[in-house]
Amino acid sequence: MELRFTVNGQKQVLEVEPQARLLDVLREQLGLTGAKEGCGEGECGACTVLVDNLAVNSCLVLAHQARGRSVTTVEGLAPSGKLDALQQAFIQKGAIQCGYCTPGMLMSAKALLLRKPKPTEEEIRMALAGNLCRCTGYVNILRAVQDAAGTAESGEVRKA
Amino acid sequence: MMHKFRMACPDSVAETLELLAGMEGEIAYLGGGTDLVPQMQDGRRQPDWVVDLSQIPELACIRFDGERIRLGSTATFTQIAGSALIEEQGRCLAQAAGQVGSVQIRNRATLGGNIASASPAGDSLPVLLALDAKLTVLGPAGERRISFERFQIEPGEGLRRGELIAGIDFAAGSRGHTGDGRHVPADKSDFSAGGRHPIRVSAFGKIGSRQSVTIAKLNMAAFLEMEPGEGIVVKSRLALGALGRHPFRLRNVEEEMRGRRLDDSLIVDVTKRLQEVVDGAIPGRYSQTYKRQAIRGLAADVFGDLQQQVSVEKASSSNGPDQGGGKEEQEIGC
Repeated sequence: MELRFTVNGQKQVLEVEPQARLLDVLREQLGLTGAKEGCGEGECGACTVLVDNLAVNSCLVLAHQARGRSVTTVEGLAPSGKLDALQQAFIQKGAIQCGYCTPGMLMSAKALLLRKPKPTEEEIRMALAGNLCRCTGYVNILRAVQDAAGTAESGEVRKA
Repeated sequence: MMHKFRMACPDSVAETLELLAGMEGEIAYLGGGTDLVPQMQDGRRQPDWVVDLSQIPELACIRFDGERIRLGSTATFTQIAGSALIEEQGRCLAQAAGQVGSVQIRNRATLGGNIASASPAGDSLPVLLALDAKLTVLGPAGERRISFERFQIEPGEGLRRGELIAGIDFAAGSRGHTGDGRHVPADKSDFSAGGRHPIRVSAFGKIGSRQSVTIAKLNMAAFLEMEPGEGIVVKSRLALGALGRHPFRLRNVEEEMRGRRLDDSLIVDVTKRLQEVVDGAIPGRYSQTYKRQAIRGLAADVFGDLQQQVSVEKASSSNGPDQGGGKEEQEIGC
């Protein structure tokens, strides 16, 4: 079945099996391996990408459900090689350890900042509630999003 | 990897129904995919046909027709949670929608899908009981209308082959008027207090293992209608979920609430009755001890929320109709 959609600003026309998930097509047909498969059932958020600027679990979406839509992956955050402010903040705040959850974290945070450029701490926590990280304990991730949004406070972040 | 199936991606309900005639074997309708896709991925579901309903505009609609709030079955929980119309006219549904899964799940998961999946812990299901919602079901044999309550419990009334849930509707009105300030003609039998509209409030609450992205260990929805003078309960609907195969109404408790004020003594009495309901629903289950305590907190949350709304409602009723909150669209996709 032919699938027409836009990925990171580029129109794509692909031959895609009905049973392929969006995650499979991004990783295996387009070589965009930023989105990761973690749990495969919508718990961990490692596969998070944007569809029409909304964060979705790409492991739960059939690829053909993205027909006509615009998909953004973590690769789309730095199209010319220059890092997005969020990516820069994740590096500076030490919000990355093993890195497996990072693309999903970045995309959930990106969806939030697109909708709400100056989120509260609570809004950031809710936006990232569907992204699990087993290394960092979340505090530095929260700081990084606050830093990118320019809402970082000098005080301590509430413990998770 | 999923087993092979054929896929149809219709643009309208009419096209969907036309396509049905040519389909053999098991047909699975796909909404957001948050349940069906992982079920197909691990082989629990192996349909011959998958029909994607997620890009049919007429199914994604949220609107008020002057009498009832009508939602298309593929309205997502993000759309429902963010709808000023739902917040105003069926608050418990907006609350439940906002507590389903994560942002990513809510951006895809649909109300119709939650009904079709029929999880014992589905968050929208006690809400649909509390709002006395009706479903519009379409299929090869045409259209049928059925109350959600009958749909979920009566043998043979659930989805039949080729049928899809097209819409969900319920009577407008936590507040007796619409979000845009128009007056909703109330049922005359509902109240008699000299033209003042009754106070209608609803609330949803849930307990899980964490605050968000959690499957309910208990969930509850309540709808109350009170006469505006003394605040006497004239009608109520109370529903509990995650205590059996499907959520259920508590008609005995509803009857006991009638004629009483929504005060602390009512809440104490209802809470005791809820504990008895837990004991009756899951006797001897390992979770009984936990749930009979936890339901006290859930009752405090839900009834505390109702009390809060009633006091706001009384304060605002002297200031004319509320114009709706800061939320965006009134009607979506219609």
